[in-house]
Amino acid sequence: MSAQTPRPPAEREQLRALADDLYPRLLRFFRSKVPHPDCHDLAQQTFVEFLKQVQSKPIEDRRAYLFGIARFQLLKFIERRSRAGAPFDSTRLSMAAVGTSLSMHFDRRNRLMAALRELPVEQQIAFELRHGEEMQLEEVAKALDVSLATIKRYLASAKAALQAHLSAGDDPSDSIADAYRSN
Amino acid sequence: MTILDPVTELDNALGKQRFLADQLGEPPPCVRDRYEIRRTLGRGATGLVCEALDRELDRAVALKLVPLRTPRAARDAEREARTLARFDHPNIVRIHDVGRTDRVGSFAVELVFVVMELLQGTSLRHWASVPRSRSAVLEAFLAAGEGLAAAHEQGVVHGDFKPENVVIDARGKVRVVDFGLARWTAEAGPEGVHAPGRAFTQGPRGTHGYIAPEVFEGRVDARSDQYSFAVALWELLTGQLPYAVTDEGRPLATPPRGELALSVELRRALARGFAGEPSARYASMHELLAALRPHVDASEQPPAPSRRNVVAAALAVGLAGVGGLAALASAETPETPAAPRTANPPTMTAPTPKPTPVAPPCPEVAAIVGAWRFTSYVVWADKASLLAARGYYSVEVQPGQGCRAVFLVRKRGDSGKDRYGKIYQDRIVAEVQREADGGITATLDAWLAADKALDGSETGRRSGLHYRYSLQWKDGRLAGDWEMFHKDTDTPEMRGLLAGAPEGVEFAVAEDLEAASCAAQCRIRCPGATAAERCQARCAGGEAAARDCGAPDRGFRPPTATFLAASEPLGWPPAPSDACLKVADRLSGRWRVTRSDRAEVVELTLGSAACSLSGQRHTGDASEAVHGWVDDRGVWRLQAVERPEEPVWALVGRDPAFGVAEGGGAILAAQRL
Repeated sequence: MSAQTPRPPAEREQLRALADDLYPRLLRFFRSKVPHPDCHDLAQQTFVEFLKQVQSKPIEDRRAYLFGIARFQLLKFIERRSRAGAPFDSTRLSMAAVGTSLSMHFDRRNRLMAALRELPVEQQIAFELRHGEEMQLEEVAKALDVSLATIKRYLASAKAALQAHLSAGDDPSDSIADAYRSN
Repeated sequence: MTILDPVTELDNALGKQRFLADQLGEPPPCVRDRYEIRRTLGRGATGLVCEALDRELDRAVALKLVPLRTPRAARDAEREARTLARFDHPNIVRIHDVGRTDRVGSFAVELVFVVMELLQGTSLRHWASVPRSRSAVLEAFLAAGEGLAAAHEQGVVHGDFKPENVVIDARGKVRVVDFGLARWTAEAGPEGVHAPGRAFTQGPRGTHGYIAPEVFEGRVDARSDQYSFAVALWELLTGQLPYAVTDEGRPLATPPRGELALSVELRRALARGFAGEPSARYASMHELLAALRPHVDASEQPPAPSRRNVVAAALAVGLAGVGGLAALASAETPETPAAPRTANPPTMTAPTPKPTPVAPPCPEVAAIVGAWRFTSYVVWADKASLLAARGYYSVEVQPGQGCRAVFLVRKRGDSGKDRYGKIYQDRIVAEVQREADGGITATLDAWLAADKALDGSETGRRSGLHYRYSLQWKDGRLAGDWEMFHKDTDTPEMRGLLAGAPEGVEFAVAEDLEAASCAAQCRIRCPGATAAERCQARCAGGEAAARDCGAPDRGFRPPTATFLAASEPLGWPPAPSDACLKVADRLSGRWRVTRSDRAEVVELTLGSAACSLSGQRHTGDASEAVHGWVDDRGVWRLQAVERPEEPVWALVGRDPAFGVAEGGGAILAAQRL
């Protein structure tokens, strides 16, 4: 990626502010699923695409839109990496199944993150956006381009699977959301 | 509020700065205005490894950044730099600079930075993940061994030698990396590197499986590296580490595994290298290398070279480790170290390489790739409490090379405990075949261990519970049978059926042995390989039933519980228990009994009342009354009523049942329908 045509100062300021707010979020979204250096490349590609769209049309819910692009980039990435060349069913298969798992350490955060990566990708994304990014259900539904009912179903399944995976008696959502935000 | 660890903060800051540099032309992140960070190649628990441009010398370098908020790691990084600075050896990664700074570009952070040569390559672990000739592997190790020997001459012990810490570059040059755990031995005293090393103050460090036994006693010297080196080479030549290790990483003193794959001389040389006692090893790395060198066969034809994307490779092997510093652009990995290059050298400024398409797997593999679930059912077990138990599994199938697939098997619970606290798992690479009936089969030898890593690093590590699964995929369903063995033996503890379906699809549990495939029935019913093969041949001949295995193999060892039971007098019937009833209730009827020590078939007719048994035994024209009972372990014993002084038969299982006859021969009892 090379430097673009010079932008007016106001736009530069706006872009810097957006990057301050959104770039770390994007990076953690990808970092929880894809190792280095690809997580950085995907974050960049997503942000560039987002800026293009923001400049060309009014966007109502920017956060949902941003993560919608991020999800699309992720699925494209998985398709490219899928050695079988078979379509990747993100409602069923997890990042762990894709074989891009990061090195697993046995500290708590990594254990929680490993549990997240075991979820089917769509459920993982829904859980992260809802609990990690604290987005409204409607926003999550927009980002994933599915109905509200489907999002609720994803979240319930994700929670049950995480609870079972971690053998947690209590709801592990808060601790996993925290692990996600610090990943 | 979430508190970020310093490495994550640094990673975020570098990503954002890089982005703003690309989009707005802002200054890129830079260390001391000299090392311009191009991209982050890997993140570990304690730091980042980046590709950077050294502006003064206009060359690409690898830059390791370790925030001071992880002081021990920062110390290790500085020590590694000091250690490496002593060397100028073609097989040791070169260091250019080390220092501390309080900012990277606009981001304020105190850190140690180490500037090293940027290697374009992959780890030996990954390089060897495709078939390589033995000579190619040996040559790569000989080169790495020269690097270790040079370090030893300087009084430095690497301390964490393993295939991940050797990088082979596009030209076949081999470099030992990651001296982060290096130790000074003998304080470089005149007696050389074999003087006793310093005792640890913080417990042994290194990587399980590669740590020499003496390291656990706080003794470390160059011979500890020799151990790690020999173990690693053995692993890449045979596919498994020579020794299983305890949970703390200590090797178990057992005969080395996988030795049949190697010639006697090579085996001997390596076994000396990883001898348990340091004094039994070679006096130096040079001596070990001299013993290995004759085994390189220049005429050996390597398998077809494979093209690989190295970025993907590095991700797979995990630059995420603490000390990984091999940095890379796009390159091809050579078959033979130091072989001439066949492609133009990649440039440092090349854009992020796209993954190279890899040959698609064969159709048999492609048909089964995905996530599956299955439930196992115990048909036979050597104790009654296990009969009819279920096990809950998931298995992920990923494409491997050609018609091989990678199976990630996870046992998540059983009918005693729906969900285990830990997941028992293993990663198995196995051949996939298409059968005449269109089904696709694979046999997995799995060693399930709690929370075992599935990233491939554990491949060959044979610890845990040993299962063998014979799987068949047909019409979108999974079926098969399985066997579990007693620890470190080939004696089965359980045998049973399994059934499954793609993740999320309902399926019925297979409990009826009669309904299983003929091949599955043969494996479950027939004791010993020969009996099972005989049975399989009958299947191929179109005989549906596999009830007649013939006699058990002569070498078949009856279950231990039956040996013990057969040596005891019959005594008085036990009080009925759940375990004995579970078995006794299913024993009424006609049986066909064969023995490994006699070519005779015995017909048995049994009736049961509570836990007691009575009936008739027919051998040829002779017939006699028998009686006996089932004990609370589920072992059933029979004795001729008229000859109470004779030893008893003892069997375990319902149908089939295996056991021991008078005289110690193995017996097999199969119910007649």
